Amino acid sequence: MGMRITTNMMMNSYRFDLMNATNTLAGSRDKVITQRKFNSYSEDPTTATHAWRIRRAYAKNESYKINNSDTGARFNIAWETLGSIKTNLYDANAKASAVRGLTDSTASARQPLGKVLSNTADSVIQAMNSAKYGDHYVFSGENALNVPFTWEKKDGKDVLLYRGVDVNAKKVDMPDMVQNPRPDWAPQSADDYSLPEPGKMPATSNDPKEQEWIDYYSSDWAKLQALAHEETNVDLGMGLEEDGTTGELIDGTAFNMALPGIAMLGYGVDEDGLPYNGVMAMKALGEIFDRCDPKTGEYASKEDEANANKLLDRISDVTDYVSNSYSQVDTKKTFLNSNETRLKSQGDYLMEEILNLEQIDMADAITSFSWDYYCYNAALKIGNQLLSQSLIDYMN
Amino acid sequence: MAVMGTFSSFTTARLAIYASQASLNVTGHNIANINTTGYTRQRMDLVSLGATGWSEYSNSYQAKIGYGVLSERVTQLRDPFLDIRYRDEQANLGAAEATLDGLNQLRNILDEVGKGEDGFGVIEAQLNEFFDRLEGLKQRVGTDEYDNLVRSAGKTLAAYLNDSAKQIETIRNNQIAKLNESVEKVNGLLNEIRDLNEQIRAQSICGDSALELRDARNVAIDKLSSYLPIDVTYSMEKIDQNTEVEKLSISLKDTGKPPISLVDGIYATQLITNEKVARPNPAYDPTLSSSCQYIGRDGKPTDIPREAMVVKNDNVVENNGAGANKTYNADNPTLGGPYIMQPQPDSVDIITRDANGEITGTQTLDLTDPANANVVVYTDNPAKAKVPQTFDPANPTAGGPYILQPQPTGNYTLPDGTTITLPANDANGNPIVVYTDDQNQALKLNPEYEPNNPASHKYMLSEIDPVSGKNKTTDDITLLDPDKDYIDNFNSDNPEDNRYLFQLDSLKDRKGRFMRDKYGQEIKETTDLTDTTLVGGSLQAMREFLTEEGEFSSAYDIGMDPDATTKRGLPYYQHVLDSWAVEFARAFNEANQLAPDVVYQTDDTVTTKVQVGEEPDPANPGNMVPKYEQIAYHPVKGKEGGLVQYKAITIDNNGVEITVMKEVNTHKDVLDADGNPTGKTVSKELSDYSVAELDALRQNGLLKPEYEFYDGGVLFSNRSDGNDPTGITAKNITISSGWETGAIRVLNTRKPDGLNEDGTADTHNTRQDNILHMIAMMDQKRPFNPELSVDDAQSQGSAFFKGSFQEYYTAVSATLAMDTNITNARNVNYSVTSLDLDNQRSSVSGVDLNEEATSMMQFQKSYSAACRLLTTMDSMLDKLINGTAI
Repeated sequence: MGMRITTNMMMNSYRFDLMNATNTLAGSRDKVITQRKFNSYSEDPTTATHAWRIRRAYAKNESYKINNSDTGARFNIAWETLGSIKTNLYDANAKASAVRGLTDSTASARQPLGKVLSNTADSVIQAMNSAKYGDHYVFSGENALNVPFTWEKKDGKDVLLYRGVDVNAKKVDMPDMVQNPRPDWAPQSADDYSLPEPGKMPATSNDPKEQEWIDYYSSDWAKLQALAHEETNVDLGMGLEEDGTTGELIDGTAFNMALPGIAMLGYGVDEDGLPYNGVMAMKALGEIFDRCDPKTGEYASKEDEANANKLLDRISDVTDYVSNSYSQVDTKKTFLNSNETRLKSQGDYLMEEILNLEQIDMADAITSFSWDYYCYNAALKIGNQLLSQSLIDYMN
Repeated sequence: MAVMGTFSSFTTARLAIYASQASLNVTGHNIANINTTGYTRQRMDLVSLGATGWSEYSNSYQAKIGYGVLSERVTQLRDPFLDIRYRDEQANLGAAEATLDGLNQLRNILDEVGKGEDGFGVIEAQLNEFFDRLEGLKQRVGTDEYDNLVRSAGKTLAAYLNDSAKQIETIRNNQIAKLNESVEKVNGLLNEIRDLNEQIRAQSICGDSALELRDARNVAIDKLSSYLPIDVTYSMEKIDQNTEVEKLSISLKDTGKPPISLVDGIYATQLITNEKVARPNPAYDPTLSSSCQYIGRDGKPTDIPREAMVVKNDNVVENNGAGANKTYNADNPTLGGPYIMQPQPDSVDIITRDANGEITGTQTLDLTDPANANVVVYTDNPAKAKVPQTFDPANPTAGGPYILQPQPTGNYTLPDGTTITLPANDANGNPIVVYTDDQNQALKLNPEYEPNNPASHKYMLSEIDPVSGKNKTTDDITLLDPDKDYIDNFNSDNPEDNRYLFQLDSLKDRKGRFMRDKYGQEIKETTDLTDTTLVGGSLQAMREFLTEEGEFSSAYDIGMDPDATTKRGLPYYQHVLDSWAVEFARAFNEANQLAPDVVYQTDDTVTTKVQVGEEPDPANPGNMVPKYEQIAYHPVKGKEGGLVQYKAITIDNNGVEITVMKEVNTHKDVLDADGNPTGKTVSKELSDYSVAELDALRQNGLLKPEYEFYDGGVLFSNRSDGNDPTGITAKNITISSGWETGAIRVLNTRKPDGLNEDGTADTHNTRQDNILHMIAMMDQKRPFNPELSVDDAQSQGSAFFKGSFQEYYTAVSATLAMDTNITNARNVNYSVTSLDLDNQRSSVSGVDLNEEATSMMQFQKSYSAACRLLTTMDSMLDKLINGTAI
């Protein structure tokens, strides 16, 4: 005879098995209600860890999309503004060009044209200043809370300042870094246009080589260089990372969204003192035309005539320059659009991955639940029938 | 043919009826108790009654017939081996259940799967929110409302951490209550088993099996086995010359030889939970001979004074004198003999005899006479040469009941304080022996005992030994200072420091009388249980859940339990949350501040512009505008080496008092190997400034012009009304009061603003390099060392996790999940095994209705048959008596 099977043994085993069936049924029910493959980390640690990783990536991707949208909006504003400026410049260029070949009888239009040019220059600056995204001026670089361009009267003439620096700065060559290495207080990189930190550069130096650097960094030209090369980085999902040793941002891992207005319009003057900045070129030409004889349109001097022709060419060059700036902005805008598409599809992919990892197949879940429910009922039926019978029930 | 009485068959029938009836009663008893917990089925043992001896008239054919059946006794059907296996499994199951219960409670707090909006969790989602707000601020530098959004996200994150930490604390308190409850239950069970033992013993002496009491006892032992890992043994206890009864003993499993006893017959111990206990010495090894101070009565080393051999005074003074005559002469005991009489008599009789042996004279020698001081009386009876047992404190070498251990040499201090010099030998040339009447001073010492070996002592002092550089150790508990050398154990004010070590009280009976050892001495010692004494059971599991710190274990923890670093209890999860909070706060606080000597004016001459009155507006003479003057402060020179120290200065300038509260020491001494200043200085780092200095600087310091708009500072603090970043834990982390009030903002850039030509600051720039740095920090992989939150963790510099903040938090959940998985699998395994063993027990000792029904039928039939026999005999005899009479 084998092992004795007693009544309580059967009861204990039955209770244990019934509880298992109930647990299984509860688990299936939870899956159907929550539509999740697992409702706690311990149910499937590997999948849960992977799912959290994907969720974090998804949340970051959403953030990148917002950044991209913000940046795109700024670039849209910049693009629109530069577009209208380009049109104004083209228009001015065309008019001015038309005037070049005028005879004396029609050259009397020069003076009014001068006013038009001057007003056009003002309107370009107004356009640049009015480009705002929220509280920030789009073309102000790192000083976005203040207008980028301001006018100042100097010796009766209008001087255009970009963040307080005259845009018509005479070019100052950077000292030869081979013959004259940068002092310790100066930024060390060859392509670093930034200025020394305030307080670090001495006012003067007895060392002529150091004085050369002091003179360079003190010049408006160096300031304009620094302003034109400002960077403002934003995280658009390109793997933002800092160098572990220096803490500096690694190139290529962030998007430079800086739009320094001075870089868009140009700056500096040539050997003749004629401005590279389109606005100032228009202003200068406007002044020349303004000095012309109102009746005959004759130039006030030979020098004026010569400068007028040069300025006409300059305006043509500046138009190309601004077109180039416009193209760069357009290129970046296009990148932002494609990045947005990329981020959108990446977000969709990540969400799909999350659902694949976590979401249950409802058909499968309901089938499992139905089966577990059936097994539970079968267990109840067994208990009802098997446990109640014994020999005593059949004795007389 | 057998010879039997006429009516003996009636006896046979009667006995059969009795047997059947008794068996039916047992069957009925079984059926009635089918649902009684712990009931063991019983069986009536029937034996055949046979005639013994040699009958006077016997049949040559040897046809002896029995006289029926006897109901000998009722026995239980039980397999003790299955009980042992079942109880072993119950200990494992109890441990797994207790651990799983704790881990499930932790899971409710730390497991974020499926929680939060769209299943993004709570703290995980809040970290994402914090990151998003930083991104938003980066795009809109200079707007306070976006800074406020970052602040609220940070505040919410800190609040979630606080909640988690508090919930963990609640779990701790619940577990402590549960542990205390379990200890009470265990003590109740031990008492119950002891009382049942007493009752069973009493009944056994009277010859009763006490089966029901044994069942009750087994039920109690089964319950006890889930709390503690136990071994149950049965032995026979001699009551008198002819009587022995069974004795049950319960001891803790795997606690050496002899094992630690919980119940020994009618004696039982109780678990004691002292609020403080003496700090156990991790190096103590009681199994080593060199750890045992004494030699026991059984000749083996022992650390228990009670078991130590007492060196009694059994000395016999032998005649070791040079040239002494060893041959004893009874007539003249002064001539010589093997022993020297103790004590020496006051007088001795010397008998003289003639050649024939006849007594010719007797001389009595007075030994008190100084002339006879050198006379020695000998004896050949060693019993008369024993050293006196009476102890004289003034003369300890004269005699006494016990021999002092160890024996002193040279100078010896008497109880009255005087010091005597002990000679090497006494007047008789025998080695000096110092006696005592205190047997505790006469315990035989173990020559192998190493008092200087740290492994020899049970307790550890907080005092450091200057020679070894390690903590001193001792066995003498009276040397321990309760304030310094005792550790928090149970129910202290700092639950995190409790070690929850148990003590076992001495074994006592129901009336509180101590158990005696085989030498008749009361056993009064308590037993300390260490971290690893209990090898299973729910008590140890609860203990470990409340104390184990995993990778945060200290050297002491590892010394007490070599596996400490692999066991993770509630303190571990508390420390990981704290480490996270500490590192998160440290990283962001550091990123949001610049060193004071960068930001604040620390030049030799500090200047500032102060309002000194009013003056007419040059542009509009009718209006009055503030009048300013540049004020120069000349600082007080401090130490040599270029250190400049500023003090609070109050200056009266044209009736205007201006005070600057600024204590700035921007440089620190470079020290040599001996700690002396070398005269060189280095710039102080942020961490070199105290919280009060930084606060004072932030409120009153003079900013450099290029940092005029600087508003950095501590973002996360240990209290909401301060800016103190020290001592941060998950429970207390909060945003600083400076950030809450707007005095501190998220620092957008670490670069200075530009300066105008007049030296004044340009407008505040909108660079966001520092915010970008903070965003990059969120994803940066960083090491998390145990020392972040636990100073004495023995990680030896290695990080227990390397990853970003979010990965760390996920890893905590993953660790918990793995621990839960493993414990759950063990729990299921032990449950199945336990059920299987219980079924096997039931198979042997359980009641089966079918079987009992069969038995009922069987004994009913036998009862009927016995009755039939009776009636048959009746009719037979009736025929014989009435039918054959004349």
